[in-house]
Amino acid sequence: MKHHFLIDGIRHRAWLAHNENGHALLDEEATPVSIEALEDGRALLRIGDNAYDILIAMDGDRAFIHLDGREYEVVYESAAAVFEHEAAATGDAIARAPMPGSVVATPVTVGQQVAEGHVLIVIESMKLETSIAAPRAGVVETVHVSLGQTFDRDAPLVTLAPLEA
Amino acid sequence: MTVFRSVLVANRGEIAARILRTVRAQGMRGILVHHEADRGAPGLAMADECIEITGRTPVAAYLDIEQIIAAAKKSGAEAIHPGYGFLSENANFARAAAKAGITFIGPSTDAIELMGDKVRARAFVAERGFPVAPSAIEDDAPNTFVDRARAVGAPLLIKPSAGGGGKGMRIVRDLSKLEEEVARAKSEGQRYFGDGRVYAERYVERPRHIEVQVLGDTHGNVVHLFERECSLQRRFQKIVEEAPSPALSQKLRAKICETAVGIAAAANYTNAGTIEFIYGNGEFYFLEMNTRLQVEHPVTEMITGKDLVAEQLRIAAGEPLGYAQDAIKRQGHAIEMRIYAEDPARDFAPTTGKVLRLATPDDARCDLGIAEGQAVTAAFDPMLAKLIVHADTRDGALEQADIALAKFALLGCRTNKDFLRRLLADPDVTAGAMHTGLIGEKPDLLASPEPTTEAARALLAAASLSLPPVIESAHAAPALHASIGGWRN
Repeated sequence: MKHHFLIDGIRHRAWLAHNENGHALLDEEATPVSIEALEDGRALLRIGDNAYDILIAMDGDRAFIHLDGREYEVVYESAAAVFEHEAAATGDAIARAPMPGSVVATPVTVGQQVAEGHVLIVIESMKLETSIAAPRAGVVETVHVSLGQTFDRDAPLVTLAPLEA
Repeated sequence: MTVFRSVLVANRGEIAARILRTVRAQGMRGILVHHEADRGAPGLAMADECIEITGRTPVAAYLDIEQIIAAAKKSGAEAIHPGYGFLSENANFARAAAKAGITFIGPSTDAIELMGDKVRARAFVAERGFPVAPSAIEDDAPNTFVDRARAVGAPLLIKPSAGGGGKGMRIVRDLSKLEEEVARAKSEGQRYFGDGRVYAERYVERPRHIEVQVLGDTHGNVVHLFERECSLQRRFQKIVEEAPSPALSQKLRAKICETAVGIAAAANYTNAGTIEFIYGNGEFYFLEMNTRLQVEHPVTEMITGKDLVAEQLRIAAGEPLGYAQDAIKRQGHAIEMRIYAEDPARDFAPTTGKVLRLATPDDARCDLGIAEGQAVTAAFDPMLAKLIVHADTRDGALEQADIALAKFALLGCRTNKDFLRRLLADPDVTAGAMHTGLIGEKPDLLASPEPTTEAARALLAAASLSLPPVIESAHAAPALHASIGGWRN
C-alpha cells in the first residue's frame, strides 16, 4: 500500500512509516526522515544522512517546495481523486481548461449530441482564442462555466456523457 | 525641496511599486490608483493614498482616462506618472492631464503622437538622414517596384502592406527569383487580406535588438545613457535584457548612441525615451521610438548610477538635466531577468495560483510586482517581478544572475524561473552570440528536467511529513511496518 503523489505531473509512490524512533520514507528502501520548521516557511529536512534547507508552503493537498534552487509542486492524490480518474475513463468525460482564461462562447446546450471534435466552448487567454473540442462523441451533460467567467487551468468546462446513456 | 508635492501613479504591479519607491525617497506624496484585482499588491503598501478604480475588466480600469484624471484631481496630485503600457503613450491622456492642470511625466503630446505613429516616425527619421532599413514601397511607383526592390539588395523581406503579425512575409535570398516571389506575395496578399500591395525591406539575418536610453530636458539638452540589448525574446516578448550590449565595439556603440541622440533632438524630445534599433551584420536600422520609461530601465540605472524615475520627475518639473554627455559614465555589466507566471514547457502558457511564499535574494535588485498572499490570475499580463544583477564583467553578472535565480523562490504559482537559469547557461548566451530568434531555435531549453531520484525522495519526504492524512496513516499502521524492520532516525 502506497500513497500516490504527483511531482510536476509525474506519479510517484511512497509510504510514510512511523516507529518509536521517528518517521521513515518507504519506497524501495526505508530512509529515516524528519522535518524541523524554521521561520517564514523555511525548514530543515533530514533524509538519511543528508540535510536540506528548504522552503515549503502547503495549500490543501499540495506542497510547494523550494529545494536546491528550484521550485516543485507535489500533489497528494487522495483516494477520491484516483477514483475520479477511473470513472472518467469509462463514464463521463470532462473537458478541462488547458490554461487559465475566460469564456468567450458557449456554443452547446445541455442535452445536445455532439461528434468528436465538435467545439464545446471557446476560451480566451493572453489575447489568444482557443476552441475546446469534444474529446469523443457524446451528449453534453453539464456546462460548468458561463460566458465571461474566468477560470484556472484544469478547471472543468463541459462534462460529456456517453452517447449510449 | 521636493520637485512635486504629490505624484499619482497610473499603473500597477512592479512598475507602480518601483515609481513609488523614488517618489517616497524624494519626500513626495505618492498616490496609487488600483483595481480590486490588485489587492495585496506591494505598491499599495507604499502609497500614501490608494484610490480604487473600477472597470468592465481590471485592465479597462487602468485605461480609463476620465476616472484616473478624476482620481488625480480629487487627491490633489500635481503630477501623474503613467509607467509603461496602459496610457503611457496615449496622447489623449497626456492632453487630459494638461487640461486638468496636472503635469504628465513624459514628453510632449506632439512627440507622443509623432513616435506613436510608426509609419510617420520611420519617415521622420529617414528624412533626416538617420538609418532605416532600406526599402522599396510598391505604392510609390508600381511599375518600377521590382527594380527598386532589387536595388535594395538581398536578403529581402517582401511584406504585404495590409498584413500583420508576420503573416504573408517571405524572405528572398536569390534575387533572380525576385519577380516570381513578388508575384506570389501579391497573389497571397490579395487572397488573405484582399489587398495585393506589397513592399520590400532589407532583411537582417539573426537580428539583435539594441535600444538606446535617452533623456531630454526642457532646455534643449539631450543625452544618452548608453544602450541595452534585448535579443532574448519570444513572440516579441522580452525575457532577459542587459547593458551594455556584448555585440558592440566602442566605435559602434558611440555611433548608435549618437544616432539615438540625433533622432531625439530632431524631435525636440523631452523626458525619458528609448530608441530601438535592429542590428545585424554590422548594420543598424531605426525600428521605433518608445516615448516612455521601459520595463528594462533598471539595467541602465545599474551601469550609470542614475535613477531614471527621479530624472523624469525633475525634467517634468522644468529642471535642467544639470550634466553633459561626457559626465555620464558607465561601469560594469547589468542583466535583468523577467519572472513570468508562465510554463515554458507548455509553450509559455500563462499560469495562475497564489503567492504562498516569496523569498528574494539579498544581493540582487528585486523589483517585485507581487507580495505574499496575493493571487496570480489571468486578469493581467503575467510578469511578476524583475531580478537585476550588476557586476564588473558580463561573466560576473551571469554568475550572479544564476545565484539570484536559485535563491529566488515563489511558492504557489509556477514561473519561468528554472527556464531562465537554463537560458543564461546556454553556450550561445554566455558567449554573447544572441539574436531575436535564439529562444525559438532552442526548444530543448523549455522543459525542466525531471527531478533526480535523490531530489524526488527529498520532496516526497518533505511533503509526506507536512500532509496530515499521510502522517495520520503513518501513526495508524505501525504494526504493518514491524515486518519491514526497524530503523533509527
